[in-house]
Amino acid sequence: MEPLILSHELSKNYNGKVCALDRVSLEICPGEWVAVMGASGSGKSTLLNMIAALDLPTSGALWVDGVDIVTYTEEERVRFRREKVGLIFQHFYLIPYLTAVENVMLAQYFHSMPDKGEAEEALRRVGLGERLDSLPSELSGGEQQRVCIARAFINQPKIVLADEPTGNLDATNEETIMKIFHHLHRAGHTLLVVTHDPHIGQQADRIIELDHGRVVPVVSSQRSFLKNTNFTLSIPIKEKHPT
Amino acid sequence: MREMTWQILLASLRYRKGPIAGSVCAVALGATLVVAAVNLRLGIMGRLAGELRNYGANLLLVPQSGTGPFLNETQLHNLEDSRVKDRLRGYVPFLYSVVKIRGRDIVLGGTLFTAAKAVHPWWQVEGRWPREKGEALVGLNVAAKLGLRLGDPLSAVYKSSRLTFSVAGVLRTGGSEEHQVFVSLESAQQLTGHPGLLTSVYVSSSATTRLDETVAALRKLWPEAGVRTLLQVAEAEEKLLTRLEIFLGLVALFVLLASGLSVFSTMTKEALERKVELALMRALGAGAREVAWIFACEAAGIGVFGGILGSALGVLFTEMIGLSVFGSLVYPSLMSLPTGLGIGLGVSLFSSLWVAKRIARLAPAVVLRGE
Repeated sequence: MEPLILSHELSKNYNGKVCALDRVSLEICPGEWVAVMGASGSGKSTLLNMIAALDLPTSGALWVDGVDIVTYTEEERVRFRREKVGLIFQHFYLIPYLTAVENVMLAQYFHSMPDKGEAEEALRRVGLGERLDSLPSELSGGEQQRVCIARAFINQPKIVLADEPTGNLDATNEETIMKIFHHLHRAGHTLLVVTHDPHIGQQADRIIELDHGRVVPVVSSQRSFLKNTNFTLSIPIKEKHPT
Repeated sequence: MREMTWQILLASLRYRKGPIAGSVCAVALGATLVVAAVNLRLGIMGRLAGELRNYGANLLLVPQSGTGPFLNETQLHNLEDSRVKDRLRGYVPFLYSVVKIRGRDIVLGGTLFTAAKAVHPWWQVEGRWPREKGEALVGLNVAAKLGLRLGDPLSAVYKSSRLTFSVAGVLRTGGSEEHQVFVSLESAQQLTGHPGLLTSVYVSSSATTRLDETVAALRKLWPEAGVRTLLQVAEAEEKLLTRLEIFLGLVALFVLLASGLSVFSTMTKEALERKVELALMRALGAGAREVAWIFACEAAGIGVFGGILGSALGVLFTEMIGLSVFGSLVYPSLMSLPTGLGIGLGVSLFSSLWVAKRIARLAPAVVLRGE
């Protein structure tokens, strides 16, 4: 199978001194769920930013969907982000003055055409059917992250990149988010999840471990017990909502 | 698509009511003072010039050299021509000659008293202005020299002609007119044997027109007449009005700079506080231009609100000045709203230009990483 993401000796230096990525070569296939793990400062987020075309490498090549995105112009990188990538952040990053559904529609707006019905459906799929018109300040952390997930998937991106998606969540919410990830993975989405939490990493098809910007030789493919269980996304959410 | 743009803009403006209100106030302050300056320029400056014009005519028409010693009275119709009529506030013709009165050489001026009263409103008459052909207005100095009193007869002799007048009034002007005697134009023409002739025409140009343009128009229409500017009056007017204009312009400029700086600092603070939000938009696939465009639209919104508010306050401010300084309201200029809107938009867009540029260069990866 043609890899969806292929990097060859990808390096990133800051100010010519700090080496965030050191000749990283990797392959990620379509539909694969890959966890990128490592200690703080190991280059996980830098790698994710490269793949999202948010940052440029100092050297090396990076092919996504068969195209070397390193050679892209700024305009091409913008188009690439809006068409091929869905992003999920540790700190959620929702627009504070837009409702949950409007935040999802924002991704549609930059991609092509906002469709409220579709955005509402995406939120229902992550269990937020009752919170469509809530502002982020009225949502709990777990709910905010589910809005982010709906926003990341709304445009059917080729790849979803998540940077510590459960880093700011409690165990219950973490489980909810991971169930959603499993569901999306089974639906065929390619996931690249940056995490330092082994429990999260183990649920992926494969773990890529980084250490001081370098890929640590292969960690065997592991799948958690969750892999073969059936998840339903009509999850009854029992969270304490801020009033 | 357009609906979503409005949704984002309105939600953003609603969410940040406080800082937005501060920016709107800063823009409105600038627009208020500029609109007031424009209204003062158009309304009060015209009135001020009109008041200055009360101190006398500012143009003198005399025979052009080489065309003889007189102007033709029939040519006065040139001053009623539509090309200059609106430029003129009034004019008064004179026929001057030296006559003998009670054995002394006295300058006699024949004129149209109604016109003289209008063009020289500062002439003070003890008694009354002449109404009949046989009545005269005697300068204060002449009256004292010749011992003339109201109602006294006065005989004027020019060569072999003689006409008798009665003194209707004594004239005080504080100028050379107090050494002269004035009779009706027709009487003076009859006495001196110059029917239909004039020696000069005093012209008062309208306060709202440029003096040099009026001079050019008069020269074109009445080539036989030499047009002279009465420099003392005209220059004093020009200087005073120019200084006032410069003063108003400088005040407006400084206020614009101040409100521009205020909007600029608010926008910069806003951009810093919102950099994560703007970086997120970039990460979601918004181009640098799209994000800068959203920011510019917000600035335009501030400019429009501030401009409208400033226009209204500017008109109010002008009326307050009109009432307190001139004791009457000033007719607000139709340019008030366009000026206010223009200033509001100009200040807010120009002030946010630098911020928009910075936003366009924002590196989303750096901001979202929290560095």
